[in-house]
Amino acid sequence: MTQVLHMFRKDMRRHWPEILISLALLALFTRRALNFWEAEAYELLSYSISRFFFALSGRYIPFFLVLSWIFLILRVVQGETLVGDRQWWVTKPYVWWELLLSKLFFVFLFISVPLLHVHLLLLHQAGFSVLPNLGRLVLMQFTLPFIVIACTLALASTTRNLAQALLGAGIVVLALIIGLSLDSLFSQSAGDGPFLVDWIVSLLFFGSILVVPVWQYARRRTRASRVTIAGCSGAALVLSLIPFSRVEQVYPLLAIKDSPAQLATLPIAEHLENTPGLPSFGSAVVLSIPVNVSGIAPGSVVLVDRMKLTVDPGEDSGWTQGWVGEYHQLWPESQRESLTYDVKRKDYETIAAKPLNLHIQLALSEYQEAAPRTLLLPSGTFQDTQLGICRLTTFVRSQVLECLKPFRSPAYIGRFDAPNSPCGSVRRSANNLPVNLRVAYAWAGPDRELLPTPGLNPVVDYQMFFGPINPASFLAERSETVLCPGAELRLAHPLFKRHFRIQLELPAVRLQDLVEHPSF
Amino acid sequence: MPLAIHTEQLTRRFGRITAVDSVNLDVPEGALYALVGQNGAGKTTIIKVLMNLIPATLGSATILGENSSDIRGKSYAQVGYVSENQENPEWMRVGAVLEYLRDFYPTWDCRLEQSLVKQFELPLDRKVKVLSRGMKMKLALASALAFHPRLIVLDEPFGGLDPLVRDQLIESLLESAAESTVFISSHDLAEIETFSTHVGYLESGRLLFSEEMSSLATRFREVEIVTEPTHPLPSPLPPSWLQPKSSGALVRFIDSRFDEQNTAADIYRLFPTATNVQFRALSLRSIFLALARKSEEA
Repeated sequence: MTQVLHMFRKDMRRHWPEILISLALLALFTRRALNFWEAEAYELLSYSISRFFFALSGRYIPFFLVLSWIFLILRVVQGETLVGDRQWWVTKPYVWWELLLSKLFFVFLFISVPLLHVHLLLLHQAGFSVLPNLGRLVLMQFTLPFIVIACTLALASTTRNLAQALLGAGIVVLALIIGLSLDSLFSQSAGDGPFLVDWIVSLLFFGSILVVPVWQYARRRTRASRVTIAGCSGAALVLSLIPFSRVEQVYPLLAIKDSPAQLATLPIAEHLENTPGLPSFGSAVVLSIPVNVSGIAPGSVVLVDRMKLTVDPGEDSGWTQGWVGEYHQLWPESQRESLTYDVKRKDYETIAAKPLNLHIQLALSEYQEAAPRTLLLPSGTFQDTQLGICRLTTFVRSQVLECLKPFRSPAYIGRFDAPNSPCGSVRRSANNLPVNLRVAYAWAGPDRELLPTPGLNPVVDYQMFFGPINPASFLAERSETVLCPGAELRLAHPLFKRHFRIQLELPAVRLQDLVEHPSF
Repeated sequence: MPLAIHTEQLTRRFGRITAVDSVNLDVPEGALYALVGQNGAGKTTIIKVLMNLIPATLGSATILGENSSDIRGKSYAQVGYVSENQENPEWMRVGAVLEYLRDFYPTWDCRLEQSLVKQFELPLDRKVKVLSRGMKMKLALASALAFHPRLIVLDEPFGGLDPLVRDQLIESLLESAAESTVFISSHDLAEIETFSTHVGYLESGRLLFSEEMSSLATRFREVEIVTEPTHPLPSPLPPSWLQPKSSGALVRFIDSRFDEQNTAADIYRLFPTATNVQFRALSLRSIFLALARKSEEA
């Protein structure tokens, strides 16, 4: 163990400028992160230039902090580079595991320990007790900081210098871009992969990232190490791209009458012009399909997850794109929803005026309220076991409930009976819209992640937006929701009930009549 | 005699190129062994395999009784390694390098370190990156000698050094030789000749010979014969006669298997009119050049 401290001291003497830079950036990050109420702080800055720099600092300080860690790890590991056969230290009586330990100790002392202290400080300053959160705080070190450290260690131990590391990082970024593009291509028509596959993918990736540096220190087999990382990551990518289940399997088809949400298409009015008010979204044209909604049980919500448009066999179907992601919430009070579907402008122009029989498939998820309760909004800051520490805030001229919660924002269903609230239903908002004409809902779905949200700040700042239910008619007046102290909110945990799929028909319709009109 | 270095059919290939080809090498403990050969002969590759810097493709090697592929960590506490193309910790000061190394070696001798620093006039407060090539080599040698290694491995240590520095290094090396085995690769034949006890000659990855200097000196002789002018030279000449030349009545060659009686018998068989035969001892450099020319001709 004497070698560990001996080498650590040497590294500390050598890399003090990099250590200082990283600690200075951590101090800047802490200073910025202590503005817990992000939305409020943003609103308080009066000049647009101040707001710009405030937003910029929130984004770039963490980026540069992570960059400084990467640089520090690269420098300290490559100080005794494992690549090549000309290094001075290789023929000295270094014990490999003591050398590895000294590097890990360095990273622990100058990255993990200061960060843990900052996390403790942030939790404490935000008003959360430290002790009950200590376990999850330790767990948090195994999210983003751990991923950054492990990946950089793997990169540093298989490259000779900063130039090689930069090249390696470039290859990794390129592989990520290709992987994400392929993923977006394949994942549309695929359901969520099984848990086991997720575990195998994580095991392959993180296994190779963790084992290779140890192997490199023990044996210095650079080529084999690089091949191992590339091979395991490639296998993990391929495995994650395999569609183990299709949307049709995950979302079983239900007859409309059995569906917990009764959806029906509306007759489409013909546009007189050929392409009325064609919205310009680059090379895409957005089709908008209005549907009537009814039958959703109180205390439930149905989410539209994906949508697929098909036409009769024999008709030109080259323009349809299979399953595409949607994001619509259907609540008990919902009456009208507008589903959207992108079509390539080139394709659109060739078939816009042709009557087509459209078959619409929707993949939906039903959630139910669990443990519902009423929250009477107090004035000022208040603490809630489910929501965290919250307060009413104005954000971008809207009234929102801004909350702080350790590690991960909670899942919730929130209902605000705005017309019957003491907040008033006729006064105009800052956006010059009438307020509280309709019931409003807030929603955050549950996820299956157990770890804290990957990030550098243990205090998650989130806003609960209560969105009013869409008006039954497109001609009806739009409104805004304004919360106030004394308002009653119905809060519940969302409980997943089932996935299902329904099919709607839209016969003899021209695409040009579905294009979103500015007057909508 | 116990062996400090032993290789058996040691082979190292880089793709299709065979850098070291089935080398069998024995270096007895206490020897001052010089491995000589032209550039690209495979000397550095052998040393890198011995030091476990690169793995062997075939065959095996042992250093101080330990398989070279197992040499790592504390095994290096008995081996001092100096190479001309080794990367140094350029950012450190000379004093800091020695201070840093001190803790790695249980046998580090601070007195010897001080004496080497004094002898080599090492500037302790200067950074390694500003040192001259000679000074860097002195520092490397000082740090390789200060812990009384059982084996000192030197890869081309004298290349590009001025004679004064070379003499200083050799002098220190000889002082240590009493307690260590020294394995040195070099082209610098003149210096090696003055202190080597054993020599090996490597050519295109193959070890052509490996023997004690005294036996090598005995085995190689320059032979000069005065005889009646002979054109051309009789054929075939013994294969051990290298670079045969005739100029009028004078015939010259180098015998690589000199044995006074046998060589004389061969001479009188091939040159019956020989009147005067002289045998002269050769320097290592002349032997090396003769062998190099022979391989070029081949």
